Amino acid sequence: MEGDFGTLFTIIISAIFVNNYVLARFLGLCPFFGVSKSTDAAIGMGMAVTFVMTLASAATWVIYNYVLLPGPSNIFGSIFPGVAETGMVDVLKTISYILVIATLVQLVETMMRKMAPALYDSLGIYLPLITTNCAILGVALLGTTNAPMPLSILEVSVQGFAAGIGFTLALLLMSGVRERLMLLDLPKSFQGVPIAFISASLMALAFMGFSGMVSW
Amino acid sequence: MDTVMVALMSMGFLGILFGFGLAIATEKFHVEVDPKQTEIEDTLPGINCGACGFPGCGKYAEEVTKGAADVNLCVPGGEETSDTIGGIMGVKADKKEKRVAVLMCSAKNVQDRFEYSGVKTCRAAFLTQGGNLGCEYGCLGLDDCAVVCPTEAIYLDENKLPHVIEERCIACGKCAEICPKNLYQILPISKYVHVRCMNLDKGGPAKRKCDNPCIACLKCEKACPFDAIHVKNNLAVIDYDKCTSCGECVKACPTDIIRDYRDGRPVVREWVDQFIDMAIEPLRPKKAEKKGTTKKPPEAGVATGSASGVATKTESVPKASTPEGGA
Repeated sequence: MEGDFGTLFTIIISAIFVNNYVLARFLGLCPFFGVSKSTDAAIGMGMAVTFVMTLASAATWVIYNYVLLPGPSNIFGSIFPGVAETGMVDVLKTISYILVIATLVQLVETMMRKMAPALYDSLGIYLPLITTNCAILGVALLGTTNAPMPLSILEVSVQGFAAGIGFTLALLLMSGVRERLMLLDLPKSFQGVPIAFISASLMALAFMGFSGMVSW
Repeated sequence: MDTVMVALMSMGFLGILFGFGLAIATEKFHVEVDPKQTEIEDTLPGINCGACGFPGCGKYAEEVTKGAADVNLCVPGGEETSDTIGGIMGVKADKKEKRVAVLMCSAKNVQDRFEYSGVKTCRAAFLTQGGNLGCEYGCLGLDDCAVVCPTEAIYLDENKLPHVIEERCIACGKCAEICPKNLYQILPISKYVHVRCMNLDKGGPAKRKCDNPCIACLKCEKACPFDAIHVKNNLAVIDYDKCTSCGECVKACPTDIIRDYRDGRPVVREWVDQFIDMAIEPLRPKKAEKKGTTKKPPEAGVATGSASGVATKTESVPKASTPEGGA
Protein backbone atom coordinates (compact mmCIF):
# COMPACT_ATOMS: atom_id res chain seq x y z
CA MET A 1 0.00 0.00 0.00
CA GLU A 2 2.81 2.36 0.94
CA GLY A 3 4.68 1.58 -2.23
CA ASP A 4 1.49 2.23 -4.17
CA PHE A 5 1.06 5.65 -2.63
CA GLY A 6 4.74 6.38 -3.18
CA THR A 7 4.37 5.68 -6.90
CA LEU A 8 1.35 7.99 -7.13
CA PHE A 9 3.21 10.70 -5.26
CA THR A 10 6.16 10.38 -7.63
CA ILE A 11 3.81 10.60 -10.60
CA ILE A 12 2.17 13.74 -9.21
CA ILE A 13 5.45 15.54 -8.50
CA SER A 14 6.81 14.46 -11.84
CA ALA A 15 3.82 15.67 -13.86
CA ILE A 16 3.45 18.99 -12.03
CA PHE A 17 7.06 20.11 -11.70
CA VAL A 18 9.71 17.91 -13.27
CA ASN A 19 7.97 17.13 -16.54
CA ASN A 20 5.62 20.10 -16.57
CA TYR A 21 3.76 19.76 -19.83
CA VAL A 22 4.14 23.39 -20.78
CA LEU A 23 7.50 24.42 -19.40
CA ALA A 24 9.49 21.19 -19.73
CA ARG A 25 7.77 19.34 -22.58
CA PHE A 26 6.60 22.42 -24.49
CA LEU A 27 3.13 21.09 -25.19
CA GLY A 28 0.00 23.23 -25.10
CA LEU A 29 1.83 26.46 -25.88
CA CYS A 30 -1.11 27.86 -27.83
CA PRO A 31 -3.45 28.29 -24.83
CA PHE A 32 -0.39 29.12 -22.71
CA PHE A 33 0.06 32.32 -24.70
CA GLY A 34 -3.51 32.81 -25.85
CA VAL A 35 -5.38 32.64 -22.55
CA SER A 36 -2.71 33.90 -20.12
CA LYS A 37 -3.57 37.57 -20.44
CA SER A 38 -5.72 37.66 -17.31
CA THR A 39 -5.75 35.57 -14.16
CA ASP A 40 -9.49 34.86 -14.31
CA ALA A 41 -9.33 33.38 -17.79
CA ALA A 42 -6.21 31.41 -16.81
CA ILE A 43 -8.02 29.78 -13.89
CA GLY A 44 -11.05 28.90 -16.05
CA MET A 45 -8.90 27.44 -18.81
CA GLY A 46 -6.72 25.58 -16.31
CA MET A 47 -9.74 23.97 -14.65
CA ALA A 48 -11.21 22.93 -18.00
CA VAL A 49 -7.90 21.44 -19.15
CA THR A 50 -7.42 19.57 -15.87
CA PHE A 51 -10.93 18.17 -16.13
CA VAL A 52 -10.54 17.01 -19.72
CA MET A 53 -7.00 15.67 -19.19
CA THR A 54 -8.15 13.45 -16.34
CA LEU A 55 -11.05 12.01 -18.30
CA ALA A 56 -9.07 11.69 -21.53
CA SER A 57 -6.27 9.80 -19.77
CA ALA A 58 -8.72 7.27 -18.39
CA ALA A 59 -10.62 6.90 -21.70
CA THR A 60 -7.51 6.49 -23.82
CA TRP A 61 -6.13 3.95 -21.35
CA VAL A 62 -9.18 1.81 -22.07
CA ILE A 63 -8.73 2.19 -25.83
CA TYR A 64 -5.03 1.45 -25.54
CA ASN A 65 -5.43 -1.70 -23.51
CA TYR A 66 -8.53 -3.19 -25.13
CA VAL A 67 -8.30 -2.03 -28.75
CA LEU A 68 -4.72 -1.24 -29.64
CA LEU A 69 -2.51 -3.62 -27.64
CA PRO A 70 -2.00 -7.13 -28.97
CA GLY A 71 -3.02 -10.11 -26.84
CA PRO A 72 -6.12 -11.91 -25.65
CA SER A 73 -7.68 -8.75 -24.17
CA ASN A 74 -7.99 -7.11 -27.61
CA ILE A 75 -11.69 -6.92 -28.48
CA PHE A 76 -10.98 -7.03 -32.21
CA GLY A 77 -8.70 -10.01 -31.75
CA SER A 78 -11.57 -12.50 -31.90
CA ILE A 79 -12.71 -11.14 -35.29
CA PHE A 80 -9.30 -10.56 -36.85
CA PRO A 81 -6.73 -13.03 -35.58
CA GLY A 82 -3.95 -10.86 -37.07
CA VAL A 83 -4.76 -8.04 -34.70
CA ALA A 84 -4.42 -10.23 -31.64
CA GLU A 85 -0.87 -11.03 -32.71
CA THR A 86 0.46 -7.65 -33.80
CA GLY A 87 -1.87 -5.07 -32.29
CA MET A 88 -2.49 -1.65 -33.83
CA VAL A 89 -0.47 0.60 -31.54
CA ASP A 90 1.85 2.05 -34.17
CA VAL A 91 -0.92 2.43 -36.76
CA LEU A 92 -3.89 3.84 -34.91
CA LYS A 93 -2.66 5.30 -31.63
CA THR A 94 -2.81 9.00 -32.52
CA ILE A 95 -5.91 8.99 -34.70
CA SER A 96 -7.99 6.85 -32.37
CA TYR A 97 -7.00 9.07 -29.42
CA ILE A 98 -8.12 12.17 -31.29
CA LEU A 99 -11.43 10.47 -32.02
CA VAL A 100 -11.89 9.44 -28.41
CA ILE A 101 -10.94 12.82 -26.95
CA ALA A 102 -13.14 14.78 -29.37
CA THR A 103 -16.09 12.52 -28.62
CA LEU A 104 -15.44 12.71 -24.92
CA VAL A 105 -15.28 16.51 -24.84
CA GLN A 106 -18.48 16.75 -26.84
CA LEU A 107 -20.21 14.24 -24.58
CA VAL A 108 -19.03 15.99 -21.43
CA GLU A 109 -20.19 19.34 -22.77
CA THR A 110 -23.66 17.99 -23.56
CA MET A 111 -24.02 16.29 -20.21
CA MET A 112 -22.64 19.22 -18.28
CA ARG A 113 -25.07 21.61 -19.92
CA LYS A 114 -27.96 19.50 -18.73
CA MET A 115 -26.78 18.35 -15.34
CA ALA A 116 -24.52 21.14 -14.07
CA PRO A 117 -25.44 24.43 -15.74
CA ALA A 118 -23.34 26.45 -13.29
CA LEU A 119 -20.22 24.47 -14.15
CA TYR A 120 -21.11 24.77 -17.82
CA ASP A 121 -21.33 28.54 -17.53
CA SER A 122 -17.85 28.80 -16.06
CA LEU A 123 -16.07 26.16 -18.17
CA GLY A 124 -18.31 26.03 -21.23
CA ILE A 125 -16.49 28.56 -23.38
CA TYR A 126 -13.15 26.82 -22.89
CA LEU A 127 -14.26 23.25 -23.56
CA PRO A 128 -14.52 23.43 -27.38
CA LEU A 129 -11.13 25.16 -27.46
CA ILE A 130 -9.30 22.22 -25.93
CA THR A 131 -10.85 19.39 -27.93
CA THR A 132 -7.71 18.85 -29.98
CA ASN A 133 -5.26 20.63 -27.72
CA CYS A 134 -1.82 19.08 -28.09
CA ALA A 135 -1.19 19.01 -24.34
CA ILE A 136 -4.21 16.79 -23.86
CA LEU A 137 -3.22 14.51 -26.72
CA GLY A 138 0.31 14.55 -25.32
CA VAL A 139 -0.85 13.46 -21.88
CA ALA A 140 -2.83 10.63 -23.45
CA LEU A 141 0.02 9.52 -25.73
CA LEU A 142 2.73 9.73 -23.09
CA GLY A 143 0.59 8.22 -20.36
CA THR A 144 -0.36 5.07 -22.29
CA THR A 145 3.06 3.66 -22.90
CA ASN A 146 5.16 0.78 -21.75
CA ALA A 147 8.38 2.76 -21.81
CA PRO A 148 9.32 3.10 -18.13
CA MET A 149 6.56 0.83 -16.84
CA PRO A 150 2.96 0.00 -17.74
CA LEU A 151 0.61 2.15 -15.70
CA SER A 152 -2.70 1.14 -14.15
CA ILE A 153 -5.86 3.11 -14.94
CA LEU A 154 -5.68 4.83 -11.55
CA GLU A 155 -2.08 5.89 -12.12
CA VAL A 156 -2.88 7.17 -15.59
CA SER A 157 -5.83 9.21 -14.31
CA VAL A 158 -3.74 10.66 -11.50
CA GLN A 159 -1.03 11.51 -13.99
CA GLY A 160 -3.58 13.25 -16.23
CA PHE A 161 -4.95 15.20 -13.27
CA ALA A 162 -1.48 16.21 -12.09
CA ALA A 163 -0.51 17.24 -15.62
CA GLY A 164 -3.60 19.47 -15.65
CA ILE A 165 -2.57 20.97 -12.32
CA GLY A 166 0.90 21.60 -13.74
CA PHE A 167 -0.66 23.26 -16.79
CA THR A 168 -2.83 25.44 -14.55
CA LEU A 169 0.22 26.36 -12.47
CA ALA A 170 2.19 27.42 -15.53
CA LEU A 171 -0.78 29.37 -16.89
CA LEU A 172 -1.36 31.13 -13.57
CA LEU A 173 2.31 32.08 -13.18
CA MET A 174 2.36 33.36 -16.74
CA SER A 175 -0.82 35.40 -16.33
CA GLY A 176 0.61 37.02 -13.20
CA VAL A 177 3.80 37.87 -15.06
CA ARG A 178 1.90 39.21 -18.05
CA GLU A 179 -0.38 41.39 -15.96
CA ARG A 180 2.76 43.08 -14.65
CA LEU A 181 4.31 43.18 -18.12
CA MET A 182 1.36 45.22 -19.36
CA LEU A 183 2.50 48.13 -17.18
CA LEU A 184 6.12 48.11 -18.32
CA ASP A 185 7.57 50.74 -20.57
CA LEU A 186 8.94 48.49 -23.30
CA PRO A 187 10.33 49.19 -26.74
CA LYS A 188 7.61 48.94 -29.35
CA SER A 189 9.05 45.80 -30.95
CA PHE A 190 8.99 43.93 -27.62
CA GLN A 191 5.45 44.77 -26.58
CA GLY A 192 2.84 42.02 -26.35
CA VAL A 193 3.75 38.51 -27.43
CA PRO A 194 7.56 38.93 -27.90
CA ILE A 195 8.17 39.82 -24.28
CA ALA A 196 5.77 37.03 -23.30
CA PHE A 197 7.94 34.56 -25.22
CA ILE A 198 11.05 35.81 -23.45
CA SER A 199 9.39 35.59 -20.04
CA ALA A 200 8.17 32.08 -20.86
CA SER A 201 11.66 30.98 -21.81
CA LEU A 202 13.02 32.34 -18.53
CA MET A 203 10.27 30.49 -16.65
CA ALA A 204 11.17 27.30 -18.53
CA LEU A 205 14.79 27.82 -17.52
CA ALA A 206 13.69 28.13 -13.91
CA PHE A 207 11.73 24.88 -14.23
CA MET A 208 14.90 23.19 -15.54
CA GLY A 209 15.97 23.32 -11.91
CA PHE A 210 13.53 20.50 -11.19
CA SER A 211 14.97 18.16 -13.82
CA GLY A 212 16.56 15.05 -12.39
CA MET A 213 14.67 15.42 -9.12
CA VAL A 214 12.50 12.40 -9.96
CA SER A 215 13.93 9.78 -12.22
CA TRP A 216 10.57 8.60 -13.50
CA MET B 1 -3.53 -5.07 -46.98
CA ASP B 2 -4.81 -6.90 -43.95
CA THR B 3 -3.52 -4.15 -41.66
CA VAL B 4 -5.23 -1.45 -43.71
CA MET B 5 -8.51 -3.34 -43.70
CA VAL B 6 -8.35 -3.97 -39.96
CA ALA B 7 -7.44 -0.35 -39.28
CA LEU B 8 -10.29 0.91 -41.43
CA MET B 9 -12.77 -1.51 -39.93
CA SER B 10 -11.84 -0.87 -36.34
CA MET B 11 -11.76 2.92 -36.72
CA GLY B 12 -15.05 2.80 -38.57
CA PHE B 13 -16.51 0.67 -35.83
CA LEU B 14 -15.25 3.02 -33.13
CA GLY B 15 -16.52 6.03 -35.10
CA ILE B 16 -20.00 4.57 -35.53
CA LEU B 17 -20.08 3.56 -31.87
CA PHE B 18 -19.10 7.03 -30.68
CA GLY B 19 -21.43 8.66 -33.20
CA PHE B 20 -24.42 6.73 -31.92
CA GLY B 21 -23.31 7.36 -28.36
CA LEU B 22 -23.22 11.08 -28.98
CA ALA B 23 -26.55 11.03 -30.79
CA ILE B 24 -28.20 9.25 -27.89
CA ALA B 25 -26.54 11.58 -25.39
CA THR B 26 -27.67 14.65 -27.30
CA GLU B 27 -31.20 13.33 -27.38
CA LYS B 28 -31.20 12.34 -23.74
CA PHE B 29 -29.53 15.45 -22.38
CA HIS B 30 -31.24 17.84 -24.73
CA VAL B 31 -31.72 21.28 -23.22
CA GLU B 32 -34.87 23.02 -24.36
CA VAL B 33 -34.12 26.49 -25.66
CA ASP B 34 -37.14 28.72 -25.90
CA PRO B 35 -37.59 29.86 -29.54
CA LYS B 36 -38.29 33.31 -28.11
CA GLN B 37 -34.79 33.36 -26.70
CA THR B 38 -33.09 32.87 -30.06
CA GLU B 39 -35.42 35.45 -31.56
CA ILE B 40 -34.53 37.99 -28.87
CA GLU B 41 -30.85 37.22 -29.24
CA ASP B 42 -31.09 38.03 -32.93
CA THR B 43 -32.74 41.34 -32.12
CA LEU B 44 -30.04 42.44 -29.70
CA PRO B 45 -27.03 44.34 -31.05
CA GLY B 46 -24.65 41.54 -30.08
CA ILE B 47 -21.80 43.76 -28.94
CA ASN B 48 -21.85 42.23 -25.43
CA CYS B 49 -21.29 45.59 -23.73
CA GLY B 50 -22.84 44.50 -20.44
CA ALA B 51 -24.78 47.74 -19.94
CA CYS B 52 -27.92 45.72 -19.14
CA GLY B 53 -26.14 44.23 -16.13
CA PHE B 54 -25.83 40.73 -17.58
CA PRO B 55 -22.67 39.17 -19.01
CA GLY B 56 -23.36 39.51 -22.71
CA CYS B 57 -26.38 39.62 -24.99
CA GLY B 58 -27.00 35.85 -24.79
CA LYS B 59 -27.42 35.88 -21.04
CA TYR B 60 -29.70 38.91 -21.21
CA ALA B 61 -31.89 37.15 -23.82
CA GLU B 62 -32.09 34.14 -21.51
CA GLU B 63 -33.09 36.26 -18.51
CA VAL B 64 -35.72 38.14 -20.52
CA THR B 65 -37.20 34.88 -21.73
CA LYS B 66 -37.40 33.64 -18.17
CA GLY B 67 -39.16 36.85 -17.24
CA ALA B 68 -36.43 37.73 -14.76
CA ALA B 69 -35.33 40.87 -16.57
CA ASP B 70 -37.16 43.86 -18.02
CA VAL B 71 -37.36 44.20 -21.78
CA ASN B 72 -36.02 47.75 -21.83
CA LEU B 73 -32.53 47.24 -20.41
CA CYS B 74 -30.58 47.24 -23.66
CA VAL B 75 -28.92 50.64 -23.80
CA PRO B 76 -27.18 50.56 -27.20
CA GLY B 77 -30.29 49.12 -28.87
CA GLY B 78 -32.42 51.89 -27.44
CA GLU B 79 -36.15 52.21 -27.78
CA GLU B 80 -36.34 50.32 -31.06
CA THR B 81 -34.84 47.15 -29.60
CA SER B 82 -36.92 47.28 -26.45
CA ASP B 83 -40.08 47.69 -28.54
CA THR B 84 -39.14 44.66 -30.66
CA ILE B 85 -38.33 42.55 -27.59
CA GLY B 86 -41.56 43.75 -26.01
CA GLY B 87 -43.38 42.60 -29.13
CA ILE B 88 -41.77 39.15 -28.94
CA MET B 89 -42.53 38.78 -25.26
CA GLY B 90 -46.01 40.32 -25.53
CA VAL B 91 -45.11 43.02 -23.02
CA LYS B 92 -45.33 46.72 -23.53
CA ALA B 93 -41.93 48.27 -23.01
CA ASP B 94 -41.77 51.10 -20.53
CA LYS B 95 -39.83 54.03 -21.77
CA LYS B 96 -36.42 53.90 -20.23
CA GLU B 97 -34.61 57.09 -19.72
CA LYS B 98 -31.24 57.40 -21.35
CA ARG B 99 -28.39 57.52 -18.91
CA VAL B 100 -24.97 59.03 -19.39
CA ALA B 101 -21.61 58.92 -17.66
CA VAL B 102 -20.69 62.01 -15.66
CA LEU B 103 -17.18 62.84 -14.50
CA MET B 104 -17.28 64.05 -10.90
CA CYS B 105 -14.23 66.24 -11.14
CA SER B 106 -13.63 69.68 -12.56
CA ALA B 107 -9.97 70.06 -11.67
CA LYS B 108 -8.47 73.42 -12.38
CA ASN B 109 -4.87 74.48 -11.79
CA VAL B 110 -3.99 71.40 -9.76
CA GLN B 111 -0.25 71.30 -9.13
CA ASP B 112 1.85 68.16 -9.51
CA ARG B 113 3.33 66.67 -6.36
CA PHE B 114 6.13 65.05 -8.36
CA GLU B 115 7.01 64.31 -11.92
CA TYR B 116 5.57 61.04 -13.16
CA SER B 117 7.43 59.44 -16.02
CA GLY B 118 5.97 55.92 -16.06
CA VAL B 119 3.43 54.35 -18.38
CA LYS B 120 0.83 56.88 -19.42
CA THR B 121 -2.26 55.20 -18.05
CA CYS B 122 -4.26 56.22 -15.00
CA ARG B 123 -4.10 52.74 -13.51
CA ALA B 124 -0.31 52.62 -13.69
CA ALA B 125 0.05 56.18 -12.40
CA PHE B 126 -2.32 55.40 -9.54
CA LEU B 127 0.04 52.66 -8.32
CA THR B 128 2.67 55.31 -7.65
CA GLN B 129 1.41 56.92 -4.43
CA GLY B 130 -2.04 57.45 -5.90
CA GLY B 131 -0.81 59.47 -8.83
CA ASN B 132 1.26 62.58 -9.32
CA LEU B 133 -1.47 65.16 -8.84
CA GLY B 134 -1.67 67.42 -5.83
CA CYS B 135 -5.34 66.51 -5.29
CA GLU B 136 -5.54 62.84 -4.35
CA TYR B 137 -9.26 62.72 -5.17
CA GLY B 138 -9.13 64.25 -8.61
CA CYS B 139 -8.78 63.17 -12.20
CA LEU B 140 -5.28 62.12 -13.25
CA GLY B 141 -5.93 63.36 -16.76
CA LEU B 142 -4.44 60.40 -18.61
CA ASP B 143 -6.77 58.73 -21.04
CA ASP B 144 -7.85 55.37 -19.61
CA CYS B 145 -11.56 56.23 -19.84
CA ALA B 146 -11.24 57.55 -23.38
CA VAL B 147 -9.39 54.41 -24.47
CA VAL B 148 -11.82 52.00 -22.86
CA CYS B 149 -14.95 53.75 -24.17
CA PRO B 150 -16.49 51.49 -26.86
CA THR B 151 -18.25 54.35 -28.64
CA GLU B 152 -15.45 56.92 -28.41
CA ALA B 153 -17.71 59.22 -26.45
CA ILE B 154 -14.97 60.57 -24.19
CA TYR B 155 -12.34 63.08 -25.22
CA LEU B 156 -9.73 65.03 -23.27
CA ASP B 157 -9.81 68.79 -23.47
CA GLU B 158 -6.74 71.05 -23.47
CA ASN B 159 -6.59 70.88 -19.66
CA LYS B 160 -6.47 67.06 -19.80
CA LEU B 161 -9.94 66.80 -18.30
CA PRO B 162 -12.19 64.17 -19.90
CA HIS B 163 -15.52 65.19 -21.38
CA VAL B 164 -18.41 62.91 -22.23
CA ILE B 165 -20.24 63.41 -25.52
CA GLU B 166 -23.73 62.57 -24.34
CA GLU B 167 -25.18 61.68 -27.74
CA ARG B 168 -22.63 58.89 -28.11
CA CYS B 169 -22.61 57.64 -24.52
CA ILE B 170 -24.37 54.28 -24.12
CA ALA B 171 -23.97 54.17 -20.33
CA CYS B 172 -22.09 50.89 -20.42
CA GLY B 173 -20.18 51.88 -17.29
CA LYS B 174 -16.76 50.84 -18.58
CA CYS B 175 -15.26 54.24 -17.75
CA ALA B 176 -16.65 54.02 -14.22
CA GLU B 177 -15.09 50.59 -13.91
CA ILE B 178 -11.62 51.52 -15.10
CA CYS B 179 -11.25 54.89 -13.36
CA PRO B 180 -8.88 54.24 -10.42
CA LYS B 181 -10.37 57.19 -8.53
CA ASN B 182 -14.00 56.20 -9.13
CA LEU B 183 -14.85 59.58 -10.59
CA TYR B 184 -17.53 58.46 -13.04
CA GLN B 185 -21.19 58.05 -12.21
CA ILE B 186 -23.85 56.77 -14.57
CA LEU B 187 -26.86 59.07 -14.11
CA PRO B 188 -30.15 59.75 -15.90
CA ILE B 189 -29.79 62.35 -18.62
CA SER B 190 -32.58 64.49 -17.18
CA LYS B 191 -30.45 65.17 -14.11
CA TYR B 192 -27.95 67.71 -15.25
CA VAL B 193 -26.89 69.47 -12.08
CA HIS B 194 -23.91 67.73 -10.51
CA VAL B 195 -21.40 68.32 -7.78
CA ARG B 196 -18.34 67.87 -9.89
CA CYS B 197 -15.86 67.30 -7.11
CA MET B 198 -14.88 64.38 -4.88
CA ASN B 199 -12.63 66.23 -2.46
CA LEU B 200 -13.28 65.23 1.16
CA ASP B 201 -10.90 67.81 2.65
CA LYS B 202 -12.05 70.82 4.62
CA GLY B 203 -12.39 74.13 2.82
CA GLY B 204 -8.87 75.48 3.33
CA PRO B 205 -6.81 72.44 2.35
CA ALA B 206 -9.18 71.73 -0.54
CA LYS B 207 -8.78 75.24 -1.86
CA ARG B 208 -5.01 74.94 -1.74
CA LYS B 209 -5.06 71.90 -4.00
CA CYS B 210 -7.38 73.08 -6.72
CA ASP B 211 -9.13 76.20 -7.94
CA ASN B 212 -12.47 74.36 -8.16
CA PRO B 213 -12.93 72.37 -4.95
CA CYS B 214 -15.98 71.73 -2.82
CA ILE B 215 -15.19 73.70 0.30
CA ALA B 216 -18.24 72.42 2.22
CA CYS B 217 -19.58 75.96 2.74
CA LEU B 218 -23.21 74.71 3.01
CA LYS B 219 -24.50 77.46 0.70
CA CYS B 220 -25.98 74.92 -1.70
CA GLU B 221 -27.71 73.15 1.18
CA LYS B 222 -29.39 76.41 2.19
CA ALA B 223 -30.21 77.38 -1.38
CA CYS B 224 -31.90 74.11 -2.31
CA PRO B 225 -35.71 74.38 -2.21
CA PHE B 226 -36.18 70.59 -2.34
CA ASP B 227 -33.84 69.46 0.46
CA ALA B 228 -31.94 67.49 -2.16
CA ILE B 229 -28.35 68.49 -1.47
CA HIS B 230 -26.46 67.84 1.74
CA VAL B 231 -22.87 68.21 2.82
CA LYS B 232 -21.45 64.95 4.11
CA ASN B 233 -17.77 64.44 4.94
CA ASN B 234 -16.97 67.93 3.70
CA LEU B 235 -18.50 67.19 0.32
CA ALA B 236 -21.85 68.26 -1.09
CA VAL B 237 -23.86 65.25 -2.26
CA ILE B 238 -26.98 65.49 -4.39
CA ASP B 239 -29.88 63.14 -3.71
CA TYR B 240 -30.94 62.54 -7.31
CA ASP B 241 -34.34 61.23 -6.25
CA LYS B 242 -35.27 64.65 -4.93
CA CYS B 243 -33.25 66.86 -7.26
CA THR B 244 -35.19 68.62 -10.01
CA SER B 245 -32.16 70.27 -11.60
CA CYS B 246 -33.61 73.71 -10.85
CA GLY B 247 -30.16 75.25 -10.66
CA GLU B 248 -30.50 77.16 -7.37
CA CYS B 249 -27.38 75.48 -5.97
CA VAL B 250 -25.51 76.28 -9.16
CA LYS B 251 -26.15 79.93 -8.55
CA ALA B 252 -25.19 79.68 -4.89
CA CYS B 253 -21.96 77.74 -5.25
CA PRO B 254 -18.98 80.04 -4.64
CA THR B 255 -16.33 77.73 -6.11
CA ASP B 256 -18.15 76.79 -9.27
CA ILE B 257 -18.15 73.04 -8.78
CA ILE B 258 -21.89 72.55 -8.86
CA ARG B 259 -22.59 72.88 -12.51
CA ASP B 260 -25.30 72.80 -15.00
CA TYR B 261 -23.62 70.02 -16.85
CA ARG B 262 -25.38 70.41 -20.17
CA ASP B 263 -22.85 71.80 -22.67
CA GLY B 264 -20.17 70.99 -20.13
CA ARG B 265 -20.01 74.47 -18.70
CA PRO B 266 -21.69 76.49 -16.00
CA VAL B 267 -24.40 78.00 -18.14
CA VAL B 268 -26.02 80.03 -15.41
CA ARG B 269 -22.75 81.50 -14.27
CA GLU B 270 -21.01 82.43 -17.47
CA TRP B 271 -23.83 83.34 -19.77
CA VAL B 272 -26.43 84.91 -17.56
CA ASP B 273 -24.11 86.59 -15.13
CA GLN B 274 -21.85 87.94 -17.82
CA PHE B 275 -24.90 89.31 -19.51
CA ILE B 276 -26.07 90.93 -16.31
CA ASP B 277 -22.58 92.25 -15.67
CA MET B 278 -22.50 93.77 -19.13
CA ALA B 279 -25.90 95.31 -18.60
CA ILE B 280 -25.04 96.82 -15.27
CA GLU B 281 -21.49 97.77 -16.23
CA PRO B 282 -22.30 101.47 -16.71
CA LEU B 283 -24.04 101.55 -13.34
CA ARG B 284 -21.29 99.74 -11.50
CA PRO B 285 -19.30 102.54 -9.85
CA LYS B 286 -22.43 103.76 -8.13
CA LYS B 287 -24.06 100.46 -7.24
CA ALA B 288 -20.91 98.44 -6.64
CA GLU B 289 -21.46 98.35 -2.89
CA LYS B 290 -25.02 97.15 -3.11
CA LYS B 291 -25.17 94.76 -6.02
CA GLY B 292 -21.56 93.79 -6.13
CA THR B 293 -21.55 92.12 -2.74
CA THR B 294 -24.67 90.12 -3.46
CA LYS B 295 -23.81 89.18 -7.00
CA LYS B 296 -20.09 88.84 -6.90
CA PRO B 297 -19.36 85.82 -4.68
CA PRO B 298 -20.75 83.33 -7.18
CA GLU B 299 -18.50 84.85 -9.78
CA ALA B 300 -15.37 84.19 -7.79
CA GLY B 301 -14.31 80.82 -9.18
CA VAL B 302 -14.44 81.69 -12.85
CA ALA B 303 -13.63 85.29 -13.41
CA THR B 304 -11.65 86.11 -10.26
CA GLY B 305 -13.77 89.21 -9.86
CA SER B 306 -12.56 92.03 -7.67
CA ALA B 307 -14.28 91.08 -4.42
CA SER B 308 -13.44 87.39 -4.55
CA GLY B 309 -10.04 88.04 -6.03
CA VAL B 310 -9.13 89.61 -2.73
CA ALA B 311 -10.55 86.60 -0.94
CA THR B 312 -8.44 84.17 -2.91
CA LYS B 313 -5.38 86.31 -2.48
CA THR B 314 -5.76 86.47 1.27
CA GLU B 315 -6.13 82.74 1.23
CA SER B 316 -3.08 82.32 -0.91
CA VAL B 317 -0.87 83.87 1.75
CA PRO B 318 -1.35 81.06 4.27
CA LYS B 319 -1.26 78.68 1.30
CA ALA B 320 2.32 79.66 0.61
CA SER B 321 3.39 79.34 4.22
CA THR B 322 1.68 76.14 5.35
CA PRO B 323 3.10 73.68 2.80
CA GLU B 324 6.58 74.86 3.77
CA GLY B 325 5.79 74.41 7.43
CA GLY B 326 4.31 71.02 6.66
CA ALA B 327 7.25 69.98 4.55
